[in-house]
Amino acid sequence: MNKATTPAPRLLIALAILALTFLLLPLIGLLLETPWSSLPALLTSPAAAEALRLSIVTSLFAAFFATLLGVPLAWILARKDFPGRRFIRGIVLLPLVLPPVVGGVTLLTAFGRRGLIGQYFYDWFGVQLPFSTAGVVMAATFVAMPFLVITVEGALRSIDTRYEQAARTLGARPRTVLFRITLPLISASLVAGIVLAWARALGEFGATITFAGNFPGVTQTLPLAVYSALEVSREEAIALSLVLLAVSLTVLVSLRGRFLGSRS
Amino acid sequence: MSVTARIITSIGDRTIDAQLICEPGETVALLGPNGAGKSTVLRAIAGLQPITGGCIRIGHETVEEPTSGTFIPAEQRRVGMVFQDYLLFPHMTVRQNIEFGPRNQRKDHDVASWIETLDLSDLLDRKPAQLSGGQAQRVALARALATNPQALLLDEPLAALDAATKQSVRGELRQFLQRYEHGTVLVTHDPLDALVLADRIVVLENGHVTQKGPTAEVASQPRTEYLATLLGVTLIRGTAREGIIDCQGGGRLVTSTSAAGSVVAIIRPQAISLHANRPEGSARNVWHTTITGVDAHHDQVRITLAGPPQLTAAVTPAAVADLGIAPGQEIWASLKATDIAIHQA
Repeated sequence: MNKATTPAPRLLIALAILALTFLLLPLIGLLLETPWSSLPALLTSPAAAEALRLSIVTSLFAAFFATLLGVPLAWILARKDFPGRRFIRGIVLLPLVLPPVVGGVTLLTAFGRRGLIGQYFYDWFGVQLPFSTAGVVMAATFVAMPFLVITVEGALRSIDTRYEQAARTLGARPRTVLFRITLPLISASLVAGIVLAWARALGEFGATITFAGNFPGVTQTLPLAVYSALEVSREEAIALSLVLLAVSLTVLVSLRGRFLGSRS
Repeated sequence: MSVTARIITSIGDRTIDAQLICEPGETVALLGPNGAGKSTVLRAIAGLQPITGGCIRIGHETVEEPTSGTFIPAEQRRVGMVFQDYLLFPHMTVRQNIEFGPRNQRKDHDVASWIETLDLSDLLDRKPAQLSGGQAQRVALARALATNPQALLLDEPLAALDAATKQSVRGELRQFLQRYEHGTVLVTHDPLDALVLADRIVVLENGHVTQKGPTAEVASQPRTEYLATLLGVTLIRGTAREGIIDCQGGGRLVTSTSAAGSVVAIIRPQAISLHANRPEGSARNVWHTTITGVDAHHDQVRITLAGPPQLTAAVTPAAVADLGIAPGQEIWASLKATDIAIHQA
């Protein structure tokens, strides 16, 4: 600690400790109440295993789609100047601040059976997006994509674009520049963005339950299973919560503050 | 191939209008102060900065001409560019960097021969971060040349090097450029780079060409204040042996150098003293010679001397009056050995 920094006022220290306690106590509570002996049985019960499997599959798909669609969006936002760019950026970031349940409602109005687009999907192809596993992926992609976009956009803005110019003088076409220069240069941030989006998708609750419902085996992901289990078996809810907590901690530690362009 | 360009463009609120011709095998230095627009001209030739007027030709091909709507994108122009801080791709090895261009062209030109020419065989598996400045410069050169370009563009190729490395890399680069078959345009703000490397100099100030000509001529007869301050030097090529330089155009110079072989001697005109009678004192170089020209230049008068070797002296107007200096007159000139800067070439 540098002795030259201003000493912290006592009140500030006290409040900081209070804040930390407030954040820590729930975690300690969860750990204390975890039924460690029956944990393996609880986590391998058919219902829990089903929810876990569904969560992993849907969150990976969501991370995939968020990357596939989010990287091009981030590139456009970072590199191209066009009218309405700030507005579009606002739209992209909206799911970050929008209550997820509202996100779910907006998804219903667009992709529901009588929604803007959804009615045609249903009438023409007989495809129903809401209350399906595909709906879970859509809801998770909706809330997760902004994390990827802002992380990648920040990285694209921070790299030296002259590397891309050097590549062009060496005969590289725009696509080659993107895949062999730009993406490798931002690889660390890209991975961080994907992991962050995946973690967000894994924890998604509000938009999922609104748009996709809570059907075991079809749309009941881990967070939804926790919510349902709470009414039946507190032990099971705690066991499932522990899994999500472990995943979140692992992600945080592995990213070491690299997300949201705060580092790198 | 040659490069012929008239470049009209603007960057920020500065306008640039510069004309440049570089013949095959020739090295042209674009010399000027920082912010003069030198790099912009180079980037325009490479296709990285659009021009609003003029025309760029590489060899016989017109690559950009706004009036006719011609625009060939950077990746299709046959130029090799070496950037100021080299911009080697940090995630690739040296070999991958060099092979990047040929792979884009789906050819494998002379990768192996450039690797050998530039002595890179031992560095191929290294990442750019593991290279010294001089090594990185050679890799950047090899990478640019591996695409078999029709012209070479060098943007401040020595600026990123420390003083000691700069000297030796400059010598290597000169040897290379003397043998290189295509035209080379070199951007620099360092007069020494231009003097040692270039056959001709184009001076760019504030977006416009203020002087151009063969290197020795521009160096000894600067016509702008910037250049006079920067240069105004006499450039003499010759062969050094045991401190004595045999000058290419005749005459000898006694120097304090330990260099041997092909060298460039650079003499500031202020270092030459003129005397009515044979000077007494410690100067190792003394000539009795004829004045061939007198040229008032700002607050200095530049006196050209027949030599050999041909020299330029700068004296005050008062000294001109004192010595009665006039063209055709005989005079004594002296120069200290330590006032001659020697660069291996």
